[in-house]
Amino acid sequence: MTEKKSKSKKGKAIIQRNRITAYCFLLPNFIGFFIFTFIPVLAAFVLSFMQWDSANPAKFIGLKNFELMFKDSSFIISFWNTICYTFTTVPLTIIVALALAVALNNGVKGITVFRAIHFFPHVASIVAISVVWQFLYNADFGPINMFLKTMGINDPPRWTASVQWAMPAVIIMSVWKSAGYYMVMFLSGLKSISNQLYEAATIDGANAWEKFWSITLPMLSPTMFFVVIMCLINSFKVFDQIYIMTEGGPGRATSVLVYQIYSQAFINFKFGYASAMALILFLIIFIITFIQFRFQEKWVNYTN
Amino acid sequence: MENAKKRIALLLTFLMVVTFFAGCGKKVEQTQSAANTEKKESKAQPEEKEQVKLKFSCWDYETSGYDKEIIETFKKMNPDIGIEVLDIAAKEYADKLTVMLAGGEAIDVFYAKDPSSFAGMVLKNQIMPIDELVAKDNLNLEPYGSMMEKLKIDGKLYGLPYRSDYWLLFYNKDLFDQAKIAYPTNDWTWNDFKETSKKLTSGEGNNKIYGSYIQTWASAYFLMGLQKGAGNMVEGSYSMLKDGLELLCDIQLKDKSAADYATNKSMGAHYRGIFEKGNVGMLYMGTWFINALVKDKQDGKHNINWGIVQMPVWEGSNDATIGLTTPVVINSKTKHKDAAWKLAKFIGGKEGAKILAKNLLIPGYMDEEVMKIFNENPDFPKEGQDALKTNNIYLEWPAHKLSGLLGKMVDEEIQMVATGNKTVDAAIADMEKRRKEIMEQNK
Repeated sequence: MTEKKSKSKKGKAIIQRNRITAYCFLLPNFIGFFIFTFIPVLAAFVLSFMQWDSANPAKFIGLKNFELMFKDSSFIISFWNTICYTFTTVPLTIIVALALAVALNNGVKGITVFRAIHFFPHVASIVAISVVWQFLYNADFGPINMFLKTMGINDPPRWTASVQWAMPAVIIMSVWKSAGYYMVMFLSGLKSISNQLYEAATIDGANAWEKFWSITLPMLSPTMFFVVIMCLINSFKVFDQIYIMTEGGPGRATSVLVYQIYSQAFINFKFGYASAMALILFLIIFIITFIQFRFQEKWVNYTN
Repeated sequence: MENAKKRIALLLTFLMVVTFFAGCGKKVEQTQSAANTEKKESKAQPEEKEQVKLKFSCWDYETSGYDKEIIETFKKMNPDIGIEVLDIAAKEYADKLTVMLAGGEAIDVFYAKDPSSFAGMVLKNQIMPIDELVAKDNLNLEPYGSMMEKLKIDGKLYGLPYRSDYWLLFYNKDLFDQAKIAYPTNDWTWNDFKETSKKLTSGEGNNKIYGSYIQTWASAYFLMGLQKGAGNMVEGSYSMLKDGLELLCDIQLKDKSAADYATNKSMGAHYRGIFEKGNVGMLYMGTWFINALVKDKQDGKHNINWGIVQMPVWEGSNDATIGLTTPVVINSKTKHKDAAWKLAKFIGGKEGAKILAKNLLIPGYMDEEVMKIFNENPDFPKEGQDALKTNNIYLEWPAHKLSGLLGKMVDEEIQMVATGNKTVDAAIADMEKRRKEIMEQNK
């Protein structure tokens, strides 16, 4: 009896000890998260109900910031620009990434080289890339328009200088930059699909498209789920390329939410107002991600 | 054994927490110990004058040299005041300064680079009003002229004008000689500018010569409107901008006698490099460019013979240009008020002005002696003296709390016009509409 008791005591002690070790390992990361993410997020939440210019004491103003937002034409334009950016960038990125992954998976020679080439834009600094693309897009001397002119298009788009084409220009560049990253994820997803399924389908007389539609896509759905979420979140957070390539211009044609938050906070020094906008952005991302998790059972296939 | 492991684990946790908090605690300790030593020192030598250490910030301290000269001279004359200089790149100056001030950085004396950030800092109570100090010293404000009045916000004075710049027309004599066209004159109209720009333009590709260059700043696009003297950019009617914007669109998009806005923007073009490259005939720019042109020529960066005349004006109107004044200001939270005021008075007063004039920069403080130093500089083109005598100088932006917000809005709308995405009339209507919105939101 006593032996048993002491054993279970010992077991508890072990669990306890392991737990402490685990917490010790978690602690450094958690401290960083706490100081640099959690506290600022809380502060932003509180600030969104205040008026603060960074020097004078903050003043509580209730929901005024939010009221102001829906009357602020710059916010509304930025909001729709962000939506428009996200809902073109995400599908395009996924289609390109998936196409690349499938092509590379189907026994192209030198797959590692191609993989590296496509992955490169993701690793390169976005600042450098944006500057280079800015030159590429130049309406009169840029290589892209030079090429279009030799192809016989006499009046090529003026890209970042035109209201209609500035957003597509940013989108094209963003897709190019991020497709490689998601391609690598799709590639690893494709590798884990069992070959038996394809063999069975071949025996049943399925063509390539049917195989893709009925085997590859469903088997890839867990990867797809992850990629869609990551891609959506990243698109809503778009900032760097816009800050460098267009500064939200021409006019407000490429002004997006994060750019608006940045300029309200660090150019106009309305930290409360900027925090309120950040809260709205957080809510949008939260709701979309929540909906996706709710409906994942409907289309994500975890059986293998 | 187990207990020992447990203890080690606990110890580790404890250490981590302690080191983490230690980071927070250090600062307090340091300042405390600093305070202690200060106390000790002052106790030990009560007679000796305390060495004050001021923090001063400006832009391009090392590269431009004139601020360095001013500070070095001040240090020599006031050995009891030490100065720590924060050198910030010109482009980042306004942003960085605001962030540093917001972060509680104890900068005692600094320049407010543009009127909107100046007004913003006054609004945030970061700048000390100096009326009392001026009255106490019985400071003669006459040499500052009318600019002094324009620095006042709600009747209070917040700084001394350190530099007073205004816009002129620079031209490349070599290109005019080559094309056998007469140099611009002080009584030019904008139409003369446009026609001459067209005549000067020639060549293709690498040999392309443009008649003029227009910097992608909003001020380069709205100054023609302000020249009319029909009000400022905060309160005046934006319809004053119409013919100026149309003129610039014609020059860039129709005559193509200047590189267009979009190209300049995407290339990150900057007037200094462009003009010094030698393929641009005319450039209207602020008086600060005189110093840069002289300095770059001495450094062998260009070999252009350049001249200056007054800004072109609209047919039948008096000479007029736009300008801005850079005040030297004191942090309202400074701990060394007297020393800071001494430094500000030096920079913004006669001593500083003499050094600026020697470097061909226009000081805010201007009397005959300073003017003489400026005019007698051998690097200054003699016939340019008349160009400096513009009578009407309108402020780019008034020291108004909404200048910053309105400035961004005006910039966005001008960008739409200059890239051909909006007609001038539509942009002006939108500017009026958005100004109303901004005023409404910031009541």
